[in-house]
Amino acid sequence: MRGKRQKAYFKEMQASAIDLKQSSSEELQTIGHELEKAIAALDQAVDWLLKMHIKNPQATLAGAYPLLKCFGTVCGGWLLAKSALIASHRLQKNSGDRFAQQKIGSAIFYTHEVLAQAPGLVSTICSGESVAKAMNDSLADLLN
Amino acid sequence: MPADYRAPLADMQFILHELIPFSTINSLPAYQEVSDDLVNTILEEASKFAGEVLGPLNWTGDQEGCSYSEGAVKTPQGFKAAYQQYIEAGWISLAANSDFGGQGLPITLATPVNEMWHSANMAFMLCPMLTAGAIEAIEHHASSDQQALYLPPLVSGQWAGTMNLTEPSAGSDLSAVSSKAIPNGDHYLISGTKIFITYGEHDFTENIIHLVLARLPDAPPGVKGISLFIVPKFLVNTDGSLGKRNDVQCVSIEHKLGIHASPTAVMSFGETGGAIGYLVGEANRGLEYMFTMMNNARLAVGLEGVAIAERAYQQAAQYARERVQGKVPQKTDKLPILHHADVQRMLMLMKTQTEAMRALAYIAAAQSDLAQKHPDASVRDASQKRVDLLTPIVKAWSTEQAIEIASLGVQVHGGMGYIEETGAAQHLRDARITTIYEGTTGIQAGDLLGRKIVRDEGQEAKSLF
Repeated sequence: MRGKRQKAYFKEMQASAIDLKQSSSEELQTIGHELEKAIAALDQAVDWLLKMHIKNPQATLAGAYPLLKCFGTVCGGWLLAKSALIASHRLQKNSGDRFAQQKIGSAIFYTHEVLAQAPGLVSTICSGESVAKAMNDSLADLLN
Repeated sequence: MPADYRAPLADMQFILHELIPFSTINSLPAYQEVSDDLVNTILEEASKFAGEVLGPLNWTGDQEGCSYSEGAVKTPQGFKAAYQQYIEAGWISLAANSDFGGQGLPITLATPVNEMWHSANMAFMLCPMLTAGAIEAIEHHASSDQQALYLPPLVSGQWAGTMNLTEPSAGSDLSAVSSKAIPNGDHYLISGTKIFITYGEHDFTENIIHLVLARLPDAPPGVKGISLFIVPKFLVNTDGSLGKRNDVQCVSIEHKLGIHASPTAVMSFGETGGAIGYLVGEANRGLEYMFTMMNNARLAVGLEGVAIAERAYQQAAQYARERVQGKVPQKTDKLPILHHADVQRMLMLMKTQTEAMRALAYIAAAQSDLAQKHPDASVRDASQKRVDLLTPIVKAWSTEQAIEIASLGVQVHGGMGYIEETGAAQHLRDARITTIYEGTTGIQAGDLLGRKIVRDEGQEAKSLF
């Protein structure tokens, strides 16, 4: 039931990734692929947190900031990717549109330099049990 | 000398008109008169005011700071006059409710305008920002008589507003609030100490309306026993004229890392018998009332992050174009450091992350307009859910990144960045508060995880990605 209800929602980021992958530009296709990877990673993190939050709340709370950072990073990647797609349409009408050229540059740079960090953050989040135990062990002198 | 501020109009207009796009906002019945031309005219006029009036005071205000003497606070030279110009031009009331003298323009338009003010002079802008919070609390929860008395002069900027939440033993945990409110006829007598009160005292306006959290004598313990009160610096007669001075005093201002031009006050209520306060809404619901205001304040602080990141980028970009140092592979002449790959990498991290943060903050603003003004209740509801999800992200992600971006700005300057006169360090110092006030990053992260993701089993989050 839950799965069905979820499918009724419009997945905006996925839709943008598909649009980019269908673009004729290789650069935009790359952005689309990388965005898709980042979305999948974020999805995995959310599933892990939903599964874990009752069993081990300390483990999920240890990942709360990495989750927020990952979510922001992916939202940023999505919106710059969407911007690049809009910019590519502007360039088709006017190949000398400097703002549009710069926007595409921004999106490509962000994708490789910033969005690429999202899967690493997800790895941190999903290691929450181990992280929570390590914090407890290493700070034992302070905690007691 | 620090670089001048120039509003990034091209990016602002791109996000508004093409990414959001603004047609989803000015197709709403409430905003049909807000044409694209009007939007662009307002943005251009705001960019002039930000660049010419507020921007030049940013550095001088930081260096001079505020001064305190016998309960009075003097803001840095030029600030009071700039405030007067700011309210006379009507900038303060852009998005305020037209029922109380505001211009009723969409949040989506006020957001880039506010970004400009924060970029130009973050310390100055904190006064209008806190006033906006007070207006919102009164507009949503106070009686119609209280609204009629307090809102028009707050909306026009004739008076300023403050938020008095924090106490020495009640920071992130407001359940520990211990200020007292004793019933006394048609009002209450408020006593207690509040700290970290932004613009708790200043010389911009003839009156200051403090919104104060306190406990009634019979209040239950914890967060369910906190009430919200209006405590004016000068009592207000029923005809709106100013009456006698209330029993509320600024007893000192803090020495801070940044935002030196914004006075951060320690406020003492009721030292000589009790400050006269008026209950807002129902007793014991103060925290709930504060939260309606706080969500927008969080978006506003997230926007500060965008703004300070933009200013730091402009500063670094100008320096990188001027500073000639070292050689670049395959070039014989010495060139400005802008040509070095690692400097380009730093500038691009600053530029692209700022663009990403800006886009998200403006998208959240557009969703806020839809949540408030869309004729279809189901769209309003869906938009509000989206705003709720995005609020902690806009707040904490934009501000955490802003600190890193301002730090990169110092790095681009090399040794000169560590020297105050360059201006790069001020942005790092100013940015540093943004991850702390209006709910720390830790509070935002817990909010995102607990209230925004776990509570609805991830439905809203998954509908986005």
